[in-house]
Amino acid sequence: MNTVKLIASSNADSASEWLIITFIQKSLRYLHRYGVVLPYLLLGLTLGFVLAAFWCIWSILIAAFLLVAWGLERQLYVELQEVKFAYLQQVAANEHLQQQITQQSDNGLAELLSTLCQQIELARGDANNAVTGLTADFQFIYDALDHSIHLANNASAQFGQNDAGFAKDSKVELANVIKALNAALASKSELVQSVNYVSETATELMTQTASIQKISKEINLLSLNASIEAARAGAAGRGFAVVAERVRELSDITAEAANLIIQRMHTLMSAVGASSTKLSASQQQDQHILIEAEQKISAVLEQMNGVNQQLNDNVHALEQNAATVQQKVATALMQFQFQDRVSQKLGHTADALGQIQLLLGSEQALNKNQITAISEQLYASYTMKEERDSHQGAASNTTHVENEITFF
Amino acid sequence: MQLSQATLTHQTAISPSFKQYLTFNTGGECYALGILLVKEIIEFGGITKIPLMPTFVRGVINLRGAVVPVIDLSARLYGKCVDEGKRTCIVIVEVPNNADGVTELGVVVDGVNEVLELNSAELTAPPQFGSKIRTDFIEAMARLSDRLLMILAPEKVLSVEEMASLVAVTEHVNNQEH
Amino acid sequence: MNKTILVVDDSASIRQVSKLVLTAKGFEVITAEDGQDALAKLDGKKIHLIISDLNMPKMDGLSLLRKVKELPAYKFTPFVMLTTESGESFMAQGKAAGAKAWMVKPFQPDNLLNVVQKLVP
Repeated sequence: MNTVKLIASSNADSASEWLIITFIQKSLRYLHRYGVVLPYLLLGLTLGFVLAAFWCIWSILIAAFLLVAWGLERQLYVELQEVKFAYLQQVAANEHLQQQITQQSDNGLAELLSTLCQQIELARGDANNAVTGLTADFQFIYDALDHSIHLANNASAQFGQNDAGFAKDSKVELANVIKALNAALASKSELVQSVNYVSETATELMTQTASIQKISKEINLLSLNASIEAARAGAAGRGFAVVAERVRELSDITAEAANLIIQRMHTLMSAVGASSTKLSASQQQDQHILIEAEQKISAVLEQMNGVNQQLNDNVHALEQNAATVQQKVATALMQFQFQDRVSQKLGHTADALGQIQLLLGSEQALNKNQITAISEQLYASYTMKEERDSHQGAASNTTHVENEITFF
Repeated sequence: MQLSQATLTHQTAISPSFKQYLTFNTGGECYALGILLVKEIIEFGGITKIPLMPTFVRGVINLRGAVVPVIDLSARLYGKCVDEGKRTCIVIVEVPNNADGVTELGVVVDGVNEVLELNSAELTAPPQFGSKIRTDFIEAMARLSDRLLMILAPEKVLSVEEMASLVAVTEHVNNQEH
Repeated sequence: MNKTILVVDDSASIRQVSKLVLTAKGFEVITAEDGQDALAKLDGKKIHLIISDLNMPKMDGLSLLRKVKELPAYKFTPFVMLTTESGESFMAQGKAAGAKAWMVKPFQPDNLLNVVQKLVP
């Protein structure tokens, strides 16, 4: 900045100023040599011819005038000398400075500026690439999370439905199975009842058969008595004896038949009894199995419910976690907008540097106007309030929150 | 039936040696008694025991108001009482007594079988030895198709001495009743 | 059918962030890099809202706004400026050209959504 100011002051008097000063210098030099004698000679001749009468007065006046004029001339001369000296000094300093500037220029200021611009562009590019890549990555993460949440929701919904549906279905199905088993058991118990009824009937029949036996025995006795009566009756009882004998035979046959029936009945009863016992045992076993099955089924259902509940809980937790992470990622994504701001700021700076470089390349030195022009252009290119504040020297406050939205 | 009755009548007529017997079981053997001695057969039961009597005297029964002593044939023959079963019954017999009358007597047997008609040709004399019971108790023997039938001699089996003692018992009981 | 929004910004990160925020709420998003690109991408499509940056190469946001307002099909499409520029004079120009709202970057995603939902009911 100092260098630039020096260049500006030394450039204040440019070529035209230089010519004027030289001319004045030369004029003064001639005036000094001839200017004083010639006018006095002409004036004296003229006055000698025209104003002889007033010669004394005029001579006194002229003498006084000459005196004053000479004094003034001397004074002016001295001053001019001083100005000239100062100017020469300034010129010398200027030349020195210009030499310095040229030297500096030659030393690679322009190149430096160019390099700086390139570096800034490079940085912009890097930042841009990096942030673009990061944003893409984050978007991928965000999308993946979104997908996860979706999946979790689906799973949760399915589980929720299945919890009601699947478990309910299972319950209904298993209840049906138990119902069917119960029905089978009921039919079995009907069978047992039937068998028992058969057994009872057989017992009854046996009792009746026993009474038949008893009757046949009585008839046997009766027939024997009849035979005895007939025998005692002698020849008259002969016919009756035959009848009595026949009755006795019949009673014997009846008794035999009854005996046979009772024997068969015994076989039947033992078979029926065995069946009934087996059936009862099997019924009891079935009942036992049924109860066990019911217990097991309800245990399994309970376990299933528990697992479902846990799964649901886990899915909900997963959902919540994913949602939280997604929010965080969204916030992080918002922070990536700084790249846009940084890029713009760097762009503005690089533009200004580029212009300076351009001017430095074409001219020997930059004057103050040019600098101002560049500065103003830079200011005009700003888009952010913080940029303007910073340019004007105000404390840069990056956290400054501007009124974000304006509706028209 | 008409025919058989006629046939039987005819048979009896032409062969008077035919005689009817009541067959019964006692002690695992088959015995017979002349049917004319038998009055009736009743079911076993209703016997009132009498103390201080020989083992073959089972007691007395009330047969339509008359007190009838009952003897156990098995005990009389083998000295072993009858085991009562479904077929056990009492045969009421009329035994002639000393007073030229008849005494009613109940005989407990294992079971009565049938009334059998045998002719004298079918009968043989009893063996002199080899029988399980006293041979004098057996009047005759008959060979049936599948077994041997012993026809008891009632006057021996149901002897007068025994009758007397039995009558005494009966009188004793009757006196007590009076 | 989803509402379609055209996002115009020369910064890739802004384009991506905007797209992300808007697609998450079920909007269809078309992106363009500058004004010319945006005009090319309009292409007679049904657009419910245009969100544009101000400073862009080739054609800036205000020029785009003025061009869009000349197109009969998009004359009444709401136009939102989303820019780092917060100068009063620019905002006045935007207002005069027919912009519906002016948002200053960086923006809160929720705020962007608020604006969008207000303009695209």
